[in-house]
Amino acid sequence: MDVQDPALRAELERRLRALEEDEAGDAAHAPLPAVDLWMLVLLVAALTVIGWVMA
Amino acid sequence: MAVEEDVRREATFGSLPVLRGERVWNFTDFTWVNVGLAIATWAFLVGGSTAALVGFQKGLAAMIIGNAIGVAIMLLASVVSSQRYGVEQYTLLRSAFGFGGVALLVFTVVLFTEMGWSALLGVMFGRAATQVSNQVLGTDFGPNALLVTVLSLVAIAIAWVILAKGPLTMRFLNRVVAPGLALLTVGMIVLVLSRTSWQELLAAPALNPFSDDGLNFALAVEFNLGVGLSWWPVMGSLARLTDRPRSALWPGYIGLFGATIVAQVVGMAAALTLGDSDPTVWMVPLGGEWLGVVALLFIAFANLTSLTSIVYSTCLALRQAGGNLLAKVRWEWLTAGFFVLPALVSFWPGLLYDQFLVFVTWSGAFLAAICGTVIADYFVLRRQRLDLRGLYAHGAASPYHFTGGFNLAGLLSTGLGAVAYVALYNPQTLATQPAFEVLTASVPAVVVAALAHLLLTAVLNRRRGGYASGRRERGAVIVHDRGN
Repeated sequence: MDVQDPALRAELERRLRALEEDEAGDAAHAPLPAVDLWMLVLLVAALTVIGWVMA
Repeated sequence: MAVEEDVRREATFGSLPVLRGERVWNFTDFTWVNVGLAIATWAFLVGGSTAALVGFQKGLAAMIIGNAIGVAIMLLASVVSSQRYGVEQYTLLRSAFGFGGVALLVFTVVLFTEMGWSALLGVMFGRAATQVSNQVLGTDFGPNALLVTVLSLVAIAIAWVILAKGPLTMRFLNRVVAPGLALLTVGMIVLVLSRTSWQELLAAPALNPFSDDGLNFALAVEFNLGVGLSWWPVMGSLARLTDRPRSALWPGYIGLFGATIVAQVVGMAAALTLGDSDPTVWMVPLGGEWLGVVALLFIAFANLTSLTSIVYSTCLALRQAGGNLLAKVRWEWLTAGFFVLPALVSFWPGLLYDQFLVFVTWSGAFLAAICGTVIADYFVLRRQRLDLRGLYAHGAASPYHFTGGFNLAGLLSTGLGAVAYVALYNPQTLATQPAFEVLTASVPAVVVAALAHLLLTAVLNRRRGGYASGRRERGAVIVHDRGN
């Protein structure tokens, strides 16, 4: 990406402003909840145990 | 010229963060996207290669363990941050490796990994088309015949023409292939189960195992870990279009773990039933003369679409990472340059195709180490917070400029992770340490890279990389850098 291209910089600025002003607090930008991380860890652990038992 | 304009637009504006209205995929949409990605011809190849090492039950166990861990690590290192910031992953990686560091990884690990997959798909096309010739014309060409090379080169030439016609042609072809492959998978399940009983399948021996059973199983797990990790180069670009964190993570897991396992198990069952790990050999014995030929033609066609998708996303990444230099190279020349190595490899059809395990585990060594570094950087050091404006700032104005554009901590950690992998399991010599059979090599590589990154960042980046602001900020997405 050419960071010095004026058209690209203008579009980037427009998008950053929209993110800051219109999308602040939007659910799309929330961090991944800790509960999802733990659920993923538990799921992986459970599948790994199932695999070891099968083997 | 329109194609050049399309590609230029996607390579440049595609690097910018997407806005709310452009996030077009919800949970269900992205699940189908991932299911479509997962059911590809290479899943049959993975199933066949797993059957070379272990029987059905251990193979299924290895697939579950390897994909469960590999896909989870890969998703945490790609889709989570891309989804949150709406930015494709090669731009986000600047926060972990610096601008120059990302280019270094893209032009080495990503480029050679994707060139390898392209060569594999080309040879698979060649072997499938040769089987059609043998069946229809009564020829007797072997898997490494000159015709396979010629047809592989034909596949590469067709893929290049499709790429030169631009993304619209590719999207049209992909709409045909995904449902067709799902149908082929279901058809194979029916045909395999009609040919063999469940007891016969469970009793079928591995096709080409080593003498040590424990090593065979550990290799099968490691191989499937590498397969799970191998999605990493493409996932971030897709996840930025999803509407919520949960719409990115779980559909990725459902599709790339669940659907992959189904396609791989079908491939493994076919390989064990027919005694050959090569999917292009199965279709005629399974489906009969004409159905088999139709299946082979479809596999050849499906490989073309996979080939074009891989080359398209990789060449876009090359353009984005290559800065002004590659932005000036015409799209046709860039894609033609990408195909040089896969074309050369097609003169030795068995080089990668018959050494699939070696190829996947070598690429897994580096991808595991990259993932470990990225996870430590994004989740532990930055607590899921990046400075969006800083990702696009020029040179030293960016907090992610690090040392001359390279984050030495990130790059050294990745190197150490890869060294740890090779120390436990050398994919070339197949030499292993006793710990490999319990720990695998990918998991320690992820852990070593992550711990090394935490340590080296504390030592080398006390006042670099914007880590201080990442620890302080909480709340909404950061656009401005507020305290570096």
